[in-house]
Amino acid sequence: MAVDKRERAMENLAVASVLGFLAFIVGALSFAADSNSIAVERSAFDQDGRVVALAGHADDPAFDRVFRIQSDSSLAFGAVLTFRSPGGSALVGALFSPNGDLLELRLLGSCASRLPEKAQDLIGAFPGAGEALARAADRVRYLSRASQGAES
Amino acid sequence: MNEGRDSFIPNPVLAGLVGICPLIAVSKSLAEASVYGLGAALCAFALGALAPPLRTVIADRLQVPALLTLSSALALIYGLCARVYSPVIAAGLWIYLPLLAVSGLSLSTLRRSASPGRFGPDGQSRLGAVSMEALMFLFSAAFVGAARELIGLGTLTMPAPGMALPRIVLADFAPLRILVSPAGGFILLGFVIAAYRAIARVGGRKLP
Repeated sequence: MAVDKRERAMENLAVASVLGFLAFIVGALSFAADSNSIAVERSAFDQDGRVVALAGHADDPAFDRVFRIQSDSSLAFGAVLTFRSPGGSALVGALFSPNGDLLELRLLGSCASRLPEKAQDLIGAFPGAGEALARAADRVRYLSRASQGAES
Repeated sequence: MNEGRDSFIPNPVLAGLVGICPLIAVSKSLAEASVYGLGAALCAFALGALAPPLRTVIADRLQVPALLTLSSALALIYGLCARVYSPVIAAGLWIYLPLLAVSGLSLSTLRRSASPGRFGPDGQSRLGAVSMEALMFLFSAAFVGAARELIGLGTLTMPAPGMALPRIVLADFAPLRILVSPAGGFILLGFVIAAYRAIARVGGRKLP
């Protein structure tokens, strides 16, 4: 009986060590992938001023982080948003003022959208202007709150 | 003659209908379909290579959960690599990148469940057969993605690293936009399956 228990414990230990090793690999890779994502997103706003990544991840499926962008004369906030539609997906750099106004949207890349001008249409449709309860409008409001919180 | 017929490995997508739901969801373009297909193929190949040695280490009662965890970890690792390779394609593949775990696992275990007698007394899968099926999955995914994008939108988006994906515009209008929708994807896949089965029947192959 005792031998049986010890055998089972050894089996469990073997599985735990294999899974622990896997978790270590996944964890290490996710750190590397995350820092790469930060670098890629940061480069989208390099032209707007000095970019500082804000701590923490955003609680929104459309974007991961908000960047604080300090230029000589003004302060702005940027986020890389993911837009998906049945026609394709696009990554868009969105620039916001400290009070949450949308300053600029720029297409960073798109996949399977019909043509570049159609991809621009895809961007234009999403900020949710005029739709009080649209999900996209909520997202903009969230960005506004995040940027105000970061400023204070 | 029987030997030749036995060595025939049916296409897992077109004959076995393995993983067709996520495949149709992501194969709106050649780029997304290729990256997804490659992920499923690599996961299946890695599982085919890692599962037999793991079976010798891990007790029988723990093998299924361990295999599922391994498959999920492989899908996660591939998803992270895809995000670094091309954030745009990874964003398009979205939730379907982690779901590669299911496709990879299905591909690697399909051969064993379909014909267990061919895998030796210990029941270990042959890596060659799994690799063959993984390659077939990759090519089927790329073909369906290319056909949907080409006929549906008149463009071909190539998989490439970075944000800007090279796109070949073959028509300045969308010839058959419905093919980009999931319903259109299933219709196209139905035609491809019918053609595959007809060719297999002419060649004397028996499909499941």
